[in-house]
Amino acid sequence: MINQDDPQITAYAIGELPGNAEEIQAAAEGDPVLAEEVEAIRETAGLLREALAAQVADADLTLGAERRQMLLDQPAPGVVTTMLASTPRKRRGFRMMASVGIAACIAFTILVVFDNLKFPDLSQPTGFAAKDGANQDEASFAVSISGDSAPRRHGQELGDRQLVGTDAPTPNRAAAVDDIRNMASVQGDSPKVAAPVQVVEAKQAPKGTKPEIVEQPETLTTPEETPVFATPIAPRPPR
Amino acid sequence: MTPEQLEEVLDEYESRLIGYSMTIVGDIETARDVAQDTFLRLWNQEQTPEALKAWLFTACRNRSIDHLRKEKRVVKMEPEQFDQVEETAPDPAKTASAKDTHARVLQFIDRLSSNQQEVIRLRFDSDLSYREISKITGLTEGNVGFLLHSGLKKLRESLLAVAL
Repeated sequence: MINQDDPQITAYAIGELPGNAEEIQAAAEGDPVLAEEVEAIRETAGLLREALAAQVADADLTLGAERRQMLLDQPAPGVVTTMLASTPRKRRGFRMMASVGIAACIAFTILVVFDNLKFPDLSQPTGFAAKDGANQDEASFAVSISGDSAPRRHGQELGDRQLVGTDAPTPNRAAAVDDIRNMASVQGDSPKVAAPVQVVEAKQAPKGTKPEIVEQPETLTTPEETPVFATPIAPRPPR
Repeated sequence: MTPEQLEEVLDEYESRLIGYSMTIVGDIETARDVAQDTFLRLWNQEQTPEALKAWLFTACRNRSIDHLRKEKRVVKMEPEQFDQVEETAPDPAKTASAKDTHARVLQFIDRLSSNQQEVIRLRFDSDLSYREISKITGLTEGNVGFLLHSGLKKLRESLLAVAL
């Protein structure tokens, strides 16, 4: 049963014909209350249309000449697509070039840093017993390998010891020294080579002061009986 | 779509889209921006949409809602609009003219819920069917019918109350 509160009445009244339009029409014609309702809805709908049309006419509901012209001056869609497509490609190329440049810079930096660490410049004596930036409160031991007049700056920590400024603060040099010792002990011969390694205890530096520079005594092997293993490594020419 | 076709669409729909967008964003300039963007999107379509009218209103609605989300702005009335309402307010000294009646109707529309306003504008200003309104708003056809029915009833009651 259709009554005046049924949304189908409104739909029928404003011309939105539902599937059962004939049924609603019959109900409206047979019921004066429904017929009046349909008439009232149509009147209100008419007022609404007029009011909204008047609002459009009164108010300036237009884009305006400038906006309208801008729209009409737009290039064809294909042109726009091409322009949009080209922009990211340029950005991709720029990003790739930037990435390659950054990678090259990083690689160069690593190369330079590692080259300096691996092949320290041994031609410049410095004589620091403690490495730069080390905790100066801690006691350190300066271990010097004889064969050079001055300790080198490029120290290398071995456990709680520190190798300081020798010709070869590298493991190769230490291994060579060990070999000399071993050979001497096997042959039962007291080597004329002085003990190649001398342990010198560094003086503990007071807090807030620079570590004391320890002059390492020369304990070079006798030149006439220098064993093959003790052949000093020629200092690397300055770079 | 050719430039001539775009001009025809502009002539037919620009005021409708601006009016519709205004019910959502509440600001005439923003509504113009939204309508312009809608036409621009239409122009950039590879093919003209089959249901052009529904497509335009849907795009316009989506852009209006996008704008509201981005701006997070409260729907407000500009001072000019306040003046406009005052100017069009019914003058007791004058006889009820058609203009006054229209102004009242518009005032009463503003008092309806946003959903009711939207479907009423789409139906009576843009002359869209229930099905088209349903596609544009995402509401079911039943909901559209109910909103129109309740909205019209409320408007009628308000108009009758003023007449009395």
